[in-house]
Amino acid sequence: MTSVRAHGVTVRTMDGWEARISRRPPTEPEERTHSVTHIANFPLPARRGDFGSGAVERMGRDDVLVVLVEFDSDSAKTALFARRGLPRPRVVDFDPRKLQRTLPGQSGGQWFFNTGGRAFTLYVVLGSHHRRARLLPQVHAVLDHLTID
Amino acid sequence: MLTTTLVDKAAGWLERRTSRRTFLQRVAVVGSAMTVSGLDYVLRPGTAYASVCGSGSTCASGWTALCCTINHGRNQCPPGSFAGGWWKADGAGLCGGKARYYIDCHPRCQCGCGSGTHFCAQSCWGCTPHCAHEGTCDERRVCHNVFRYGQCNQHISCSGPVWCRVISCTPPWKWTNCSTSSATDDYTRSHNAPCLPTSWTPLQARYRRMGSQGSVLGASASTEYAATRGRVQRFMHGRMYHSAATGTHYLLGAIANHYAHIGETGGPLGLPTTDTQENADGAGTRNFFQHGAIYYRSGIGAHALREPVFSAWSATGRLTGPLGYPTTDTRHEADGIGWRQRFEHGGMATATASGPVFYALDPIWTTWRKLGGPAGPLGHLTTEPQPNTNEIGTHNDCEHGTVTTSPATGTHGVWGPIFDSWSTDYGREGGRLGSPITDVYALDDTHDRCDFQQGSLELDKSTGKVSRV
Repeated sequence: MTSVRAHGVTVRTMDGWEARISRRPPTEPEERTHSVTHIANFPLPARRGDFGSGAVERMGRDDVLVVLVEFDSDSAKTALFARRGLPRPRVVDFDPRKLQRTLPGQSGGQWFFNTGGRAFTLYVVLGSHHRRARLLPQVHAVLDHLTID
Repeated sequence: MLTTTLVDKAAGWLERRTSRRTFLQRVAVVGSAMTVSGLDYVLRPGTAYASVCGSGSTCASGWTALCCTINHGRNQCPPGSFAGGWWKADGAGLCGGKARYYIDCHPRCQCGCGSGTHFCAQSCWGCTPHCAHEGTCDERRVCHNVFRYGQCNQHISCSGPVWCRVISCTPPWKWTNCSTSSATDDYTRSHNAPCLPTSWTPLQARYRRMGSQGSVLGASASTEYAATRGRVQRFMHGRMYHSAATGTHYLLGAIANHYAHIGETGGPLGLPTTDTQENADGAGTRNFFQHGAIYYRSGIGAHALREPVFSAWSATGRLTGPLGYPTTDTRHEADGIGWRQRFEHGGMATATASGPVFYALDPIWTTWRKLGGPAGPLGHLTTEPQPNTNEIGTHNDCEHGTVTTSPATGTHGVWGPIFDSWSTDYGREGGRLGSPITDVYALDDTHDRCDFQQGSLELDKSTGKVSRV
């Protein structure tokens, strides 16, 4: 296993998986940036949108992309982020329309939550909606090895 | 530089195959396409018209349509929806090389969300999933992608899908209820639609400096386009104009509507030379133009002042002068040569296209107009208000007489030989006859008469002789 840690997020990945944790520099004076975590069982392109643009277009039917995007801590107190703790996705949670960009065959799911006073959204893209039951254990394995300080 | 070279080459190719008019139109589209899509346009098969919409503009591409495409050209969330989150694309040519912002609009749920989800069932959305079919190249999905960026209106935890996307060159936290936590997706940098600007122009730069959707103009309601003179863009609360000669200026509300009604940049006022400004009285607004102005006040409306009336009104002190706000536009007299305009407390008129312009206050103005104005027996005004010779009341002289007013005698017109005699032989208001208590009126077929405080003057039209009776 390989471990990646940055910005209070730790990911341990299995062989064949790739994890990147980054934080972009702000381009506006008032803008605040936070950690963005991408974990995938396929090679991640160097240039990616925070919710996987540039990567999702490359996904095959057995590929999985897990995205964890952080928000400002004030968001943790709001209704949208009221859920506590890292979610555990279920097969029924996935839908071909639950995607930032709905590409044919793919499936997705999204959850907002807070943990330790920090606000996040978890976004998961599966390469095949038909194979969601088979791919979900891989998502669980990723989340089982993901910790947030 | 590369873009310029490619546009030049594309233009050259087109020129060899088209008429000059068609050629120029096509070059404009090619230029827009290059600005929006850059190399994508050159290297991808497809038309320049399609390239105006940027990459991923088909329904199958999986992206969401821009709100202006489905919302009557308005670059704002449709009724019944709210901003659910935003992201940006850095280094966007359509925002002058700075960040371009995308704000997702979501329908409010008409019922609640189930446990563990932030999205309600489709039956509760209030919008119907479809591909944009407004006949433009923005054929992206509408009300389809069940996803939320999450920085806006975080008190709303349950929503429908992304209905459409609003575009801005100003950060959304400056003009709507969003946090400053950013997300970035440079892959969407070129996403565009024909209802949005297709290049970075002085007009777009001014709109951003004003705060874009947070400005007094609000959201855009059209793309920027060529007017009869200069360029124009419509917004929810007004319009903005640009020309090299006059700069970039905006018009708001009733003034913008009236300017459009009277021919806009192709009308008599020419292009605006100022923004809409508040008047010193705090009750109205104004705009100046190359050839006049428009003044507005609630209850009176917006009215245009054209030359030479506008300059003459300015010489009276405008709103601090005796006339007050204009209550009509500057209009031609019936002869098609002279001009007149009504104001709150009187009016202004001129016999020629270039003046001189004279003003009269009520009730003299009203009486002069009732007596036919310049087409009546009095003819054109020849003076501004003058004190009467008895120092009670005022009068305006005309080509063939006068209209005089005083509290005791009212307001009356005196003209022709009767006026000449009253003026020369009797010393007008301060003379032996005093002020008129009637207009000149026909006594019978051959005699006119006018009654004064101390007697009457009668004209025998057969001899032209005026007698005191």
